[in-house]
Formats: sequence, C-alpha cells, structure tokens
Amino acid sequence: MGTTCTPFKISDLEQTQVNEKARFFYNMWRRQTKTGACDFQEFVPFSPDLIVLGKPKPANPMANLVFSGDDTIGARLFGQNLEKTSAQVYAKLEPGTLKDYSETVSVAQNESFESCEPVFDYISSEFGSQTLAYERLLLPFKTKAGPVFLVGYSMPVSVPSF
Amino acid sequence: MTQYIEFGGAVFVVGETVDERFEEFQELVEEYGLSTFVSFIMFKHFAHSSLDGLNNNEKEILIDECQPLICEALIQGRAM
Repeated sequence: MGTTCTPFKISDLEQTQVNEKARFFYNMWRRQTKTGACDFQEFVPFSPDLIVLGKPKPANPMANLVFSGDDTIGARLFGQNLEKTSAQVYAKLEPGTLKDYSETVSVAQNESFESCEPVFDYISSEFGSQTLAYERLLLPFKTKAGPVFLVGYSMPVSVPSF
Repeated sequence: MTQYIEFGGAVFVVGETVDERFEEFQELVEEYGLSTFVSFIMFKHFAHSSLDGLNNNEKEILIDECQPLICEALIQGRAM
C-alpha cells in the first residue's frame, strides 16, 4: 500500500472532532497573517509540539527539517535533535519505503511552500508490518526577507516503534 | 554587512571572540527575519527565549543549533 495522503479542507478544522490544538494553531496563524505580521512569537511556547521545514526536498524526507520540537512524532520515533540525526534515521528504515513516504508527504509541502496557503491532511504509511498514521497541519511562514518556512503540527493516529 | 563563510553545507559566522560571532549571528537572524524560529530553538535548549544574559557556552550552542535554519534561509535568499 505504501504511503497515502488524504487532503482535508481547511474549513474542516472548524469541526468539533478535529484536534483542538490544531484549530488553535490555525486560528493564531490566520490572525497573525491577516495583519501582515512576520513575527510569530505567539507560537514560541508551543514549539515543543512543532516542526519547522524549509523548501521541500522529495528525495530526502528530513533534509528540509530545520527544527523539531521534543514532543513531536519524529522526536518520539527517532529521538530528540532529529534535525541533526537524519543519517542514523535513514539507516533504520527500508530505502524504498522511505522514498515513497518522502515523495508523498513532499507534494503538499511543496504546494504550501509555493502558495503560502495552509494544508490540512491525513498521512498513512506502512513501514514493514507497522503503520504510521497522522493528521498534519502545515502553516506557511513568510519571513520579512522572503524565505518561506513551513511550521508543521502532527496529530498521531498510529505510531510504530522502530 | 554580516561576515560569514559557507562550507560543507554549513554556515560559520566570523569573529575572533564569541561575542563578535554572536553579534554577526544576530545580524543574520535580523536580516533574514528568523527571530521566531531562533526563539523556538532557544526554548528547546534553554527553556526560555530571551537573548539577554546568555553565557558564552550558550551563545556557541545557539549558533550551532541554528545552523540548519540559517543555511536554509541563505539558500532560499540566493534563489530569489
């Protein structure tokens, strides 16, 4: 089955069954973006739950990871400081699976990066006999000098143990 | 103009002392508007996000931990 990505509408975040924190992050992002602010300091206290991504690199899933909070799925799976340990992470995963996963999750990353619009979707991927599944919210942050970063918040549905 | 050297996919700010390097680092952060993300990194490593009162060791750690962020900003900046 490999990896699948099921897009949701951003308006789905308004539904009550959606993770409250995701809705909170989206509303905070929308409020800041509406005012044209480039300063998102309000997010700082919540950074343990967040990742920050640069321009997507489909051939390498973590090459664009510039920050990973300590409470993210990635940190739970592969340890803290994931942004510095990607080489060890690759060694644990089967290369074909990794490529498939990376290419799939990068599509929406790329769309968000190019359009500067948020993305809300559901990712499911099989790693051997285990399934990694999560809902993902990507919020694009355009810095005042122009570079764009994606702030990601993932809500785990199924997390394997490697 | 901020002084830095790019080598092997990393960015090294230039300065003889930690304070000089930290000053150059802060200029890069300001120039590229990265203060929010630097705050994320500070919060992770020091449990606060204030640049005031960092000792030399903490300044070195912060410069090092911000490498991926700064590199990405420079690469994107060059492509514009």
